[in-house]
Amino acid sequence: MKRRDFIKTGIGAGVGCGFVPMQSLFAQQGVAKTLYDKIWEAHEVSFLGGITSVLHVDRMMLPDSGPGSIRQLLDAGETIKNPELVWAVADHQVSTSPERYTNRSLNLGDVANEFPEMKEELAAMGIQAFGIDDPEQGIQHVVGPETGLTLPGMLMVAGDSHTCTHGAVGCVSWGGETARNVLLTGTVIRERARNLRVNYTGTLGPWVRGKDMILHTIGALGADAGNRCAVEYAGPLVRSLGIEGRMTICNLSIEMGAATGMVAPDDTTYEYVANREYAPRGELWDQALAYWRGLPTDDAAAFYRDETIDMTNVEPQVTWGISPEHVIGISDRVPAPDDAPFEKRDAWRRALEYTGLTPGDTIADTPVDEVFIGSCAESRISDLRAAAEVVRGRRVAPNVLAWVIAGSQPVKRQAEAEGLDRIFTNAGFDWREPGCSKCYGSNGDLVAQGKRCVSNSNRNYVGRQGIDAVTHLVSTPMAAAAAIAGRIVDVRRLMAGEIA
Amino acid sequence: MANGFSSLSGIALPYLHGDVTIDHIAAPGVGMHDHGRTDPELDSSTRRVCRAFELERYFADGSENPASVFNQAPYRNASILLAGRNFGIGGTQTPAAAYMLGCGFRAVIAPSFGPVFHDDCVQTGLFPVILEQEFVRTLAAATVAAPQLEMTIDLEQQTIARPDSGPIPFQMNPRLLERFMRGLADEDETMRFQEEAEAFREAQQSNQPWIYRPTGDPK
Repeated sequence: MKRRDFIKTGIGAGVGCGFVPMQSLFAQQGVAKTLYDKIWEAHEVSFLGGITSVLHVDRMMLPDSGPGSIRQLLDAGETIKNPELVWAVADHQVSTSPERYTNRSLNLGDVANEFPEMKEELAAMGIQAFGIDDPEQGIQHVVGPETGLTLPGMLMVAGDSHTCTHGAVGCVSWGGETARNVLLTGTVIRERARNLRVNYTGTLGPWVRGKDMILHTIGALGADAGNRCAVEYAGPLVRSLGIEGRMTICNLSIEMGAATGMVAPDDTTYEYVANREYAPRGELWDQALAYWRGLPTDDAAAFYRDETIDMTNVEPQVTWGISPEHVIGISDRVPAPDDAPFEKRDAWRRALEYTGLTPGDTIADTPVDEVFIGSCAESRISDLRAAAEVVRGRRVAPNVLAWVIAGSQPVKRQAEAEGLDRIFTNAGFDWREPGCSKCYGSNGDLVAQGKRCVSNSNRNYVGRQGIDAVTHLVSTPMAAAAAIAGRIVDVRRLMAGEIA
Repeated sequence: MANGFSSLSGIALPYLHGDVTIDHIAAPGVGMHDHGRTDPELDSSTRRVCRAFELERYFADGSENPASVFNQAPYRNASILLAGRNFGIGGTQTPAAAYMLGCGFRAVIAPSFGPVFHDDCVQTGLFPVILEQEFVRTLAAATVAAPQLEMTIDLEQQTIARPDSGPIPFQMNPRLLERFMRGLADEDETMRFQEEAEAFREAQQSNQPWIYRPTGDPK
């Protein structure tokens, strides 16, 4: 096909799924459908031709600014559409200091006050709103699945780009929507993505987990591999993961530019969802379950792209540059710009200049100043348990500032009930209150200027964690190991006693 | 959403780096780079806080970096950015497109965009033109040779022209083009489907009632 045909669609993708008209794809697919197609079509309010539709929104998730957005509309005499499908949680701007409840000015904006002030009014409309005083509060992408506000089969939208996390329970979810449109109309207008399946094969080595799977995938396929694609993660390795591991994988879908990421629901999903606070019960549960069982991709469904990632012999991953695709195994050496494809050499040069690494050096043993464990990528109870297993009986290296931030109040309470907080604090970690924190710094939690941070979050962009701060993305146990050693190390070697 | 427009003219700024991230356009972190300054060279009617590309426009102490192309005349008054492939990759709640508008940019011309940023441009009113790389380079070369000459993007004709070089055609999804020409926001488009949306809701509520029960039933 000619390039003009692609340009006509208005799709701005570099690679990914950007080059073939949608119509030909649908014709090939016949009646067999993917998970994404089924959920998309089940939410079509109106098909506008081409690849554009108006879709019904099952859940709109608002951040710190949520009560303010709603107040603004109400004051203007507007009506909120489908309020019982809207919920809000304070996460980006909340302080993570234990003093945030008493010294409320530590929280930025007016986030500490707006939630309690509007709580009753919102509840009367059917809108759930979780501020710092609420037992459900936490990072939105932890809270949604945890409370059962996110359910399989839903179309769930928000402003935040990591909304793709929720796809782990078998729904379609994306960020980048404006509160105003969704609150006024209960719908979104979007262009349909194409289906990309990533099949994981092989076996996971010790201390290799969901984070390593997705980082390795982004490294192998590229940070723009998912442009205009809806990614379905499949294969026995994904099936073997719990929902929390699947959330980590789906969370980083946006780091390869994908429109969304998801895993088809299965018994692991239903077990996870059952009895959550806002999940259906009794007859409604049976009805929902029957519907959900029809969602997984049909065997005969065609994918626009099918990629296979063999995880055998893949090591714990660590990023060396300023894009999540700048990633290598822990035993690997820092690459040289000349190793890159021609069009990426300039970017690699800039990346190395920023991170201050030397091509040919091992990434292991790079000294670190700070360690951050938290974020919507990996701050759930299974992540904290993995970190605690590494930390137990050890001490944070001198001169390393190390934080652990549970993803939500329920995760924090569970960790404390298991004594994990004591393991962290005894080792010298700070154990702080739930929020987005140093992953992004929009609450003022920043990596100190020019310092090097090993982080279990999802972005290592220039300045992401602070001015001139360098970020190395790793899994949670790898971050814990770096805190102990004071340098980037192989968690497998630390646990084998090969590293002091 | 800004008012609609059928054409726009202004100084272009060549910035052809590939893979510029959204966090580079709008540095995250409240207060991190909060210099709170306005651009003194913008006239008072358009003066707004300019926070795009802070990491290269300013030194950490808040002073201007004179080596940055964004601070050099005549580019500091540019309203059209000529960009490289994958401009605005990544995606998040950053106000990257809004920051660029705040700095006086009205349009970005690039071979490809990060999809989230592209959608943000459509939503905020920053005009994103997808143009083949050779044409972007041609425009950039002409700009470097005579940077003070204004570039004109004509939405009706779908062309980009300079006084010293003939019009280059570009293509755009007609729906998006109409949005910019009429200054429409998402809600202006979706509001037209409220009857269908209401009917959808009624059907869904009876077929999938569990979606409408997020009220914390007793366990």
